[in-house]
Amino acid sequence: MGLLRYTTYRLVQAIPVLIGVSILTFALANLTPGDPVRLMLQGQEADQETIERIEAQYGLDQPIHERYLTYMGGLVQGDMGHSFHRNASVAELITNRIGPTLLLVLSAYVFALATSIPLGIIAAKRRNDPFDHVSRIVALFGVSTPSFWIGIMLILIFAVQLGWLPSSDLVYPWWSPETYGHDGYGEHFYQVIRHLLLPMIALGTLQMATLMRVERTQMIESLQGEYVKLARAYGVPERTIMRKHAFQVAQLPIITIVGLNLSTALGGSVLIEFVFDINGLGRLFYEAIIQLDYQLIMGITMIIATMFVIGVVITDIAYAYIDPRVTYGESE
Amino acid sequence: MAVGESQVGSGSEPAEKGVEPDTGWRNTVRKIKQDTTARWGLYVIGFVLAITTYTLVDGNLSRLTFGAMSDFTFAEALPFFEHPERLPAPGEAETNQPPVFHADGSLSHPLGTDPNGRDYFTRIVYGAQVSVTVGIAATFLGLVGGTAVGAVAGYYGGWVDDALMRAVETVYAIPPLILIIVFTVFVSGGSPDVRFAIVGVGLAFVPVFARIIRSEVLSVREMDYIEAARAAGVKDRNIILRHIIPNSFAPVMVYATLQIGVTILIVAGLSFLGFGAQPPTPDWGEMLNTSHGYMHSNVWLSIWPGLAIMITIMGFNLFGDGLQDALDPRLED
Repeated sequence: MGLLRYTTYRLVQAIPVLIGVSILTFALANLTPGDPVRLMLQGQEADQETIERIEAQYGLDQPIHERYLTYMGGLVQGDMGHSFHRNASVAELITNRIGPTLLLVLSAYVFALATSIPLGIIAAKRRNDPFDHVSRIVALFGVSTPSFWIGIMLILIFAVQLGWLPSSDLVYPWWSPETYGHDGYGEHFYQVIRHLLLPMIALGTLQMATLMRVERTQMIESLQGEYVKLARAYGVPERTIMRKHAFQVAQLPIITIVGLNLSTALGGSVLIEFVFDINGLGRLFYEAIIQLDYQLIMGITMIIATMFVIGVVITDIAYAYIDPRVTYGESE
Repeated sequence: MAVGESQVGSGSEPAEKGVEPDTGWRNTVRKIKQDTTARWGLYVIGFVLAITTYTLVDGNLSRLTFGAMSDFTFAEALPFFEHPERLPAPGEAETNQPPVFHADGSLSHPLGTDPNGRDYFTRIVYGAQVSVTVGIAATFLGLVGGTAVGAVAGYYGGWVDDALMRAVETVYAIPPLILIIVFTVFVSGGSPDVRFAIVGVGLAFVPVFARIIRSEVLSVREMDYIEAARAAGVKDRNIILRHIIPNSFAPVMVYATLQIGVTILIVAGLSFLGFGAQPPTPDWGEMLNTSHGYMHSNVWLSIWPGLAIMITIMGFNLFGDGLQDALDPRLED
């Protein structure tokens, strides 16, 4: 019961933030020195008449607040404007490109979680022995190395030198095997993984390192908890203590961090898609910026912020669901 | 924690022994000195800062702000160094030379040359200038902005707090790299450079600092001495500036140090995409962008700048971690 209400409450709470984001991006795009028409013409000479015609066409002759309201009205109905550079609807462009980015970000998370949690637990258990030191050094490298450079190094080693893995583009699992000329789903799946492996590691390393550090610290703290001492005093086997008593509590901060780090991962996808030539949202954003396609830039910024906010809401709900102490904000 | 755990009797029962409480700057400094992690971080930071200072003194500041190059640098007189930006005359350019340990390498270009024939070692050394100064300047900007917002929000509470925190949440909702790119490109009217990047990065990091300062202020605000100051009729502004901010600064310093690493990371990404430092300015991210097209023919071009970025950021991370351990007694055991 409470959970449903909490979910609704959190979603409603996210709305003002998203409105704020729309105001911010709109203001950046419209109040700044490079005015849209000049950006559109990109240095080409144009007479006053042409400029006015373009202004009228895109409604730029109206006052700023009216333009914003028009834009917002469109947003609510799913109309994110028109990309003048590509002559296509922004919403359509984004839907076509969002898949690869989601695939990349989610697989990076799977990689990060699958490696960081076991490693963090082992490091906490064997605190201050060689394994712990090595894993901490790995984590230090992970948080200190730019993801795009990891990507470049992975390409140099595994694609250029060894020739084991492809260095660009993804194979989409949602397309049929025939489109790629694969025989059967087995090979299709194999190719999907092969293409995904390098970008996934490049994007996931930072997440892995951060999560590993948190997991280690949390497990150490959790193992020092009174309840663990009590369980030990009762003679509960160490394995059960690890699995049931220490582990669960230690995962709560991980959930929060997974949500918050989505911000870094979404930003990082711009870089990784650039390095690996992946036709996702990040790449589209880069192209839109280069072309100064401001409606498209606003649209992508909105979508990425929305993805982040929704991600945080989901992790908040997961947190509330898992942690029995949370009372879904019903203080009354 | 782990590496420098040599202190005797660190841990569970300091209170019983009647030892001085673990506060104050002197204690922190002592702990940092004892902490191997923090010490190594300091060495790396010191090394990188020394290089940066040298390049600032030797070249000129205009490199950072306007992308212009200086006519002359003292470094040219030294062995292994050349002018970091000037292109060699077309006839004598030795392009894409491998580094010295390679069979075709020569000692005159220890790290090889770039596709334009410039000495890569010089460019790597001068590349520190943009990365480090932008990293520190942008973090400082975020710190100042965040402190102002967080202190006011936390001290006044009520609708001021609500309004400011909503604004902070909004900025926070856009991933930093995206926000910085959008800001830099739009505000510069389509021709981004380092100056806009500094402001953009600073703006993007206001939320994180604002949140930390606010929560610190909330806990300091209820202290007796603040109450006393208020009762004595001290103005709000003075209470915030003289009492609240100084007393909530320690955790912020840790965060700022770690944040410099994050800032350098982001600025490198920005330059890598072409929205930060512009050629011919030597900058690690920008060099990685250029070398991206030469990945198959000259591998080294992609390796050196990345290593430089990694070592620099690692310095700040090591120091930040050590500082955190020194200031946070919770995890000692």
